[in-house]
Amino acid sequence: MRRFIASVLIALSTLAPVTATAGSSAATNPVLPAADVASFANKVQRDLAGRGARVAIVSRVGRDPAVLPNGINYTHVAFWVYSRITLEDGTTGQGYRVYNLYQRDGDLTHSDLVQDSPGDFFAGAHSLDAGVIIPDPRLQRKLLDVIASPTYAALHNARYSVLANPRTGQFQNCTEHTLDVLMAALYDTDDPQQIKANIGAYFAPQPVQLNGLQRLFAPAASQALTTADHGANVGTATFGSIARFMQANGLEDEVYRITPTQVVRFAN
Amino acid sequence: MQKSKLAITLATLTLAAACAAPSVQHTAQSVDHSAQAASHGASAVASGAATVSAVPVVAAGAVLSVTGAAIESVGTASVDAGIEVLDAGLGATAPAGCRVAATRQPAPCVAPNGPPVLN
Repeated sequence: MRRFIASVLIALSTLAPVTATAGSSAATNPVLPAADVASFANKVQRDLAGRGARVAIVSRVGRDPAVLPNGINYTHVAFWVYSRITLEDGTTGQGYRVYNLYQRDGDLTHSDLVQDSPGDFFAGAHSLDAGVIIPDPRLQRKLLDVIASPTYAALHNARYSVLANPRTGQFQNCTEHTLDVLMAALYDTDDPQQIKANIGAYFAPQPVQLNGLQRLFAPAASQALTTADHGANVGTATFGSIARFMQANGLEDEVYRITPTQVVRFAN
Repeated sequence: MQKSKLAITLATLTLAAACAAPSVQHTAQSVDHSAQAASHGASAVASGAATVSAVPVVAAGAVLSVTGAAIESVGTASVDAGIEVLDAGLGATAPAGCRVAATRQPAPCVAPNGPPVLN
């Protein structure tokens, strides 16, 4: 029995994103200085504005990439929409507003759609590093139509799973919602079943290697770790898999990575 | 036993950080640094006036600029994370025959459209 319990604990502690040292390295991550976050958020805003992006898909690094599964570098994805912003004190300006799906604070098995600012988007980041997809301008217009419509919220499924299967509607995470909205824009549809059928046909999720023991006991650690919506293999939507999908179908204008010191184009 | 608890906690916190709101993210990153985390609220950057409206700008033109209230600055900028929850739905659950539980194939009762193209 003791051996069995040990196996379970090992499985849990080695869940794909976790290595033996992940906990300590994660625990020693400093919270980024607010001034640096603000400066980087402005850099990303100005970069997008300089490229004329009215809608972009932006991702952040929420954890040390060393503890994430292979092929996953970014942990949160959202739409950034160029907007006219008015504050409650009456001041106005133009810049980007971020359309997020966030895990609910206090109940990580559910999510909410939340708007925040570029600074807030990066406030919880592990490092100042953003993956950016600027869609083709024609697609940007379609995305704006969906984001400004009731379809955007209607495509939200509040049942959250970290590793949600993008081909089903059982659970959803931030990246899957982004993908669903993208598909709604591409196909001019608000039909969830049609969207899932098209995702199943044309989108290749990022595979995540998990063994049976890990899949069995992960929900014991947190229900948000369920893989009940997957078959034999686990795959989820990620920034990288969305970028590959868009590049493969000529839907992107630019795909790149931006840090405080450089901008690097992701190869097609 | 403490090690056991730690393993479970770390696994949970590490994975739970995906799609995390800033407040959740901070909690997850601060396992042993609660004092540090406590110094950062849900909105680590912004602490000023909340945004009351943000209207997408659709006008044509290639050059955009970031101005006024949209510029982030520590202590004076703009928004409170998490205060503007738009909506929370449960989405439409596919009929039983359309669910994809055991395979990675598309839902069998809805035929996919053609590959995505932009006109």
